[in-house]
Amino acid sequence: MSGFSQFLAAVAPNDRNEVVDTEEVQVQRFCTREGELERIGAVDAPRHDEARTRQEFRVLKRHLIARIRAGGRGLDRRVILVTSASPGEGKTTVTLGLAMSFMLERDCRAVLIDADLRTSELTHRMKLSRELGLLDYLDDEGLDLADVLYRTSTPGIYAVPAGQPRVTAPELLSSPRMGHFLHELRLSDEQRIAIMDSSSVLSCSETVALAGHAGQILFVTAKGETRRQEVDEGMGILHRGAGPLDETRIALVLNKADRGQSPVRYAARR
Amino acid sequence: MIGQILDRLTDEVRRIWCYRWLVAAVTATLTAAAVAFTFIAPNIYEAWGQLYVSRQTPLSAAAESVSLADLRSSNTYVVQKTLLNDDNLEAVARALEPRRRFTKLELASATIGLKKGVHLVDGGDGFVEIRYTDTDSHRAQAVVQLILNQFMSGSYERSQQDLRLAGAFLDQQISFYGDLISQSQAKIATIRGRWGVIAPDAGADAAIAPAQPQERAPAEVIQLPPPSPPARSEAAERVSQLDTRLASLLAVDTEQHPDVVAARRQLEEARAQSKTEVAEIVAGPLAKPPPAPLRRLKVRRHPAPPPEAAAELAELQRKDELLRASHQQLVAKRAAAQMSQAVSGADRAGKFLVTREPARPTVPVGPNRKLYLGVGILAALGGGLGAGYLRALMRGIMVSPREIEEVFQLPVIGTVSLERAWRTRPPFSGAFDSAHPPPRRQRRLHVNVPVGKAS
Repeated sequence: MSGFSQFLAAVAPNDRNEVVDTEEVQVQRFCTREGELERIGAVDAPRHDEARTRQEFRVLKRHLIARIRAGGRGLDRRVILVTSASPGEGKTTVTLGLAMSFMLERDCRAVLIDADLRTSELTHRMKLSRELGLLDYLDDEGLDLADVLYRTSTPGIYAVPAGQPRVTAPELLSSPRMGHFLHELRLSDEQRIAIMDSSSVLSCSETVALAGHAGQILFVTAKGETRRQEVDEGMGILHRGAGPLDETRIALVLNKADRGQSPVRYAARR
Repeated sequence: MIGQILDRLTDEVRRIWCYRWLVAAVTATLTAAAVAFTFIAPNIYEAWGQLYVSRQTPLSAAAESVSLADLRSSNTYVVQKTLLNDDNLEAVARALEPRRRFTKLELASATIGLKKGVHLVDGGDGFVEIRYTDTDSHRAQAVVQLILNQFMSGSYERSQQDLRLAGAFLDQQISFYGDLISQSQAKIATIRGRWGVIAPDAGADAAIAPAQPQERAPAEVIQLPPPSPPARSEAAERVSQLDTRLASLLAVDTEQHPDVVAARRQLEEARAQSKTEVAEIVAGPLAKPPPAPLRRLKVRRHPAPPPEAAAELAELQRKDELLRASHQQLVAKRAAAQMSQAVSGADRAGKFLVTREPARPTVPVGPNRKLYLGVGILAALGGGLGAGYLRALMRGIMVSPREIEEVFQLPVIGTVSLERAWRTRPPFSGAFDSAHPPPRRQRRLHVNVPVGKAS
């Protein structure tokens, strides 16, 4: 049994009938391509203390929802960019955990967008490496949103894989069609929250372009791994390229923290 | 306040914990090194000998209450200064390896090594222990023995030299005091020659004479001959001679010397005789005991010295007594110095005496392996922690939301803790068997099915 299965089982109620019903509802609500139900994405999450992790992601989710409800001028707060200063700090894990948590919200659906063109970790975890994805959509004017939007094994969570790698990937992500993609995604469902898993700021340039479309930026730092200087540099790059960044638009998350640092001190294990 | 300190402390512990493997590696390496050093280190043997150091040196005894220098230094200090000088240690180093030709550098190095190895312990009451530690017990014993030999041979010469110096010093002082006494005696003799022997009460009478002029009047009534220079009797001359002789004897001998004793006895007899003569002279013209006013005339037999002369004589006598006392002390010290020199020369024993010859040590005194091991492990742990902390500081890692907020002035809206699954109970163990996956159609509706595997 995979770790993600355990995690998912702990996060989502394991009622088969309820799941089936939910999936049917989702099929009706989202205009995914016909026959794509066979391609249910599967994600692997690290083995965590499910109860505590779930609660921690709930705390994160509450903050983000509060910001969404607070609204603001300009960019849509429902578009959340998850990034970090350097690779390996847990962007994909935080993205997945947030999506799982948003899934539990009523009238709220999460779309995972794999914008990490370096490793495409999310795509690999969802076993969607060979499917059409974001880069295909951006490169091919003939493709529609439904062509790259996939259901996952978790109801309420949809995925947009990275697509086939291209040399022009950074330019495609910086193109106006990326904005069109997000706009179309937002138009299709008001309750949809887009969570973009991007590359680290110091490893590529397209993250800055993506940050220009994001209403909220979640900057992930790993305890004991992230260097202060790198975070400083990453923040500076984002501020100069997609700024201005203030505390209403950008927030930090400490990943790989100790249990004593968790806001959930007394979570029960299940 | 305490809470903040504890939070900071916890952060630092977390910072080190992030490099726990580095800490463990450094600690293990240093511990291994400490263990290796502890068990490889050779045994250390200590040989020791004991000296008795007399506090009373001839020079210090001679200079007591005369010298301003502090001669009461501790035994250890004295021995260290006299024993552990470079000349002695170089001689010891050469004696240890007689066939070896030392360069200056090697000799200096050997000397420093000996100086580091030798420890002097003040045992109290004049006993000083000389201890030397070495990994070779034979060498330790040899070093102590050589140091003692070197020390004793040198100490005899020094002792004799001290005694000679003390004797010379005392002779000089005695001569000086002798001169002073002679001058004093000469002055006293001059005054006495001028005014005769002044009885103790004569001075008193002279002193009170100006205050009692009416008492002198009766003497003038009986028409005594006019005052003339006093005629000195034989007894008075003898007293003066004996006095001078006694002073000259005391310049070279003590009060107990037979000559001094004899001279003093003769002086007492002469004084008694002089008194008798004076009494006879006074009693001669008057066949019967004179009446009370006339008795005073016997004093006036010699003209009364002026008060200034009496006072000067008294002062001279007082100084003379002081000079004689100091002179006596110096003479006694010189006799002691001569005696010490004679004794020291007889048995070649100087200021120092070896009370314990060094023996070859059989039981090692070190190293304290348990202590070394404990200290080594603690040092290794400290080194490991320090390495981890230094590494964390160099990388500038962040370990707490509070720290991140302080640094970037941005909110940390949450944390994700890392808890390994082995700490948790699998919620659905056995629900999915990868070896026998469920049918494809069922997987579509199953929540926990990774379809990607099937494809």
